[in-house]
Amino acid sequence: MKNNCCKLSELPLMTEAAITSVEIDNALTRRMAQLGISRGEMITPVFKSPFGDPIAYSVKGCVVALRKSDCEAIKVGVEVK
Amino acid sequence: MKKYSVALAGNPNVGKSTIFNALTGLKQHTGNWTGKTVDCFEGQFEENQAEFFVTDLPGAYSLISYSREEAVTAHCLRKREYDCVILVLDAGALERNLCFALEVLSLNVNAVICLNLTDEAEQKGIIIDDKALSEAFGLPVVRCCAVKKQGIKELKAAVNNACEAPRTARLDFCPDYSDGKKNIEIISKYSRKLCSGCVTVTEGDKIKHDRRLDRMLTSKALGIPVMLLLCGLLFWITVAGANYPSEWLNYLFGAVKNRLDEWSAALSLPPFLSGLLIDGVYSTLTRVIAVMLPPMAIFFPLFSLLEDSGYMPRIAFNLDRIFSRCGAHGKQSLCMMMGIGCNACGVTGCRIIENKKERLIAVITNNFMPCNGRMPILISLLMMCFSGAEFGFSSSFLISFSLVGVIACCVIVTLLVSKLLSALLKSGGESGFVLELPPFRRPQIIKTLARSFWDRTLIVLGRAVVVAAPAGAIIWLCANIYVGDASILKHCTDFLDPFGRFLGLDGVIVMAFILGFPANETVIPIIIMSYSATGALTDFEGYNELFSLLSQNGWTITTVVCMIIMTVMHFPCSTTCLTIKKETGSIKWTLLSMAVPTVCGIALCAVVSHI
Repeated sequence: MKNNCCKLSELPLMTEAAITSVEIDNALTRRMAQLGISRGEMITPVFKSPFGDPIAYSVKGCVVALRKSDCEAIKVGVEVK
Repeated sequence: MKKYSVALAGNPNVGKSTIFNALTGLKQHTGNWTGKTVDCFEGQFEENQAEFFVTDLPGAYSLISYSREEAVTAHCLRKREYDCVILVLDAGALERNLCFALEVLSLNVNAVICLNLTDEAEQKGIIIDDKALSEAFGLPVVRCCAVKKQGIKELKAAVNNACEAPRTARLDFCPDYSDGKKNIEIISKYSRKLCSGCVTVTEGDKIKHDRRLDRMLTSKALGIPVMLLLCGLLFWITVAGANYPSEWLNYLFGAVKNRLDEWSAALSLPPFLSGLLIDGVYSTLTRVIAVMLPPMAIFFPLFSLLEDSGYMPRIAFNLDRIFSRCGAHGKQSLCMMMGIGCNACGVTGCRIIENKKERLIAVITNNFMPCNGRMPILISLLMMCFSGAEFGFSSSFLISFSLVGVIACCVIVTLLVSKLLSALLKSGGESGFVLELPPFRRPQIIKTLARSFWDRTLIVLGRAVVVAAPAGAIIWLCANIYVGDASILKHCTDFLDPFGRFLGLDGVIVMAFILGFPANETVIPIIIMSYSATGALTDFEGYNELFSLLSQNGWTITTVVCMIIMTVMHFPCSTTCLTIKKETGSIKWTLLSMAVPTVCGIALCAVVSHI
């Protein structure tokens, strides 16, 4: 069962989640998709920068840093047992 | 002999340039961060009586390009002029890497797949069945570990076979070109399916170690202090290590000069000729080498180590928040670090910033980072300030920390000017920060140090011969051709003197900066020569002699401070200006890039000198 209420930027560190939707389609979200941040992929926030933003995510075996403001449109769902 | 053209393509930072070097025997610069290569590089190798021309394309995540260097790659691959494309994939992140490979393969190109970084993948606990991958595509797959030169022979053979018998990949998916987003999802899904058939993931320590290190290097408490400390350490080694070789070189060049003087006397050369060649060309040339070479030959090899380790993108990550507050991009800090090497390289490096406005800001402010040619000026000025009579252990700390302070001020000025520009320039479309943080890699210490050392030495020596020698001749002529009752140089410096005094400097210094336009390396030698030609003739043999020469000519601590400000903030050198023109394609922005630092410098100097 998936819980579909969480924004990617609000996901706690080290919590794996599935990307359920990317609500904006522009050059930036397409770039993110090319890096594996697209619907259906698993993503985990792994560490934050000293100022709390950007946040580094582990996705498709790589670490990618994103600004909070850039991932407003990305919704994730955490598996609930 | 048959001739084939081959291209290396793949995601950024998967080791294309390392493979390129291993294939061609060339020495293209490499670094562990996205966007080190932003231009195409060409080389060649021979295999089985055929000649292969290799192009190292900039890394790309997709053919639907987002940044400028990616557009180059997409354009080159779409033209399909290569007989064979070597698709370089990071074995440790196969699923992501395959997405780009699938896009390229759907262009029906003749390709060879090269699985690079296989050793790192093993450390991560990732095992790839390359036979299964090869069967899935119907293409040859070669395992490589380019830094250890493993698999290069096999790669050459595979490329040779592929060129002789071209074939295209078997792809079991339907690309949807009408919808970019959907197409990425289709490819992404297919890539996952392919990987499930050939990748086994076991427990590996590498990822855990990397995470631990990352959490420390980017933590709230340690992130920024560690960065400053590393920076300080880098400068300390440079300052402490450079002083002695500088003195040895001065001693050596001084001895050679005495011998040259004897010979010219023995040959009874006319004083004009011996003056021009020995006091003009030779002295300027050797001063540039003695002042520039030791610090640069120490600083840059160490800097390359840092670059190879993967720490650079972490700096961009740590500082992005500050940059974004100033309307700039975190990746600008990468361009700034390149700018410490050479502002022209820094300006070219700005291609990695996708947003037009942010890129322009990065280009215009790049010159605030003291480059290769200006850093030694700063080091010598600070040495004069602090070393006093004796250069020792404690003063080397003081000098390196004040150097960190100067660089920190440069960064602050860059940020302030960025903020100002960002308010003034019109928007360049949507912005965003997407930066890959690569795994940490242990640099090949000896090899990197040795190569970077020779590279730097050759660059500094080359620049000295090309720029310092003619500058020396011109200055000597100016100082020795008399118009009326004074030399041309004296006329010029007298003319500039009121303006120089207003800035807390003098006419000679202003003149040196103007004549230093082709290369900032010549600024200090020009100052020395102007002073020795017009005033007391002191032979410059070290920082102490330099100090006494300058204080004889009325230098005070204010002069030194203003000189430091002017060194950091004046128009970029001619090479950088040409590069800015090339990158922005506009005279307007080039002129603005020259005006902004100059105006800042003049304003700040005027204020400081009148306090």
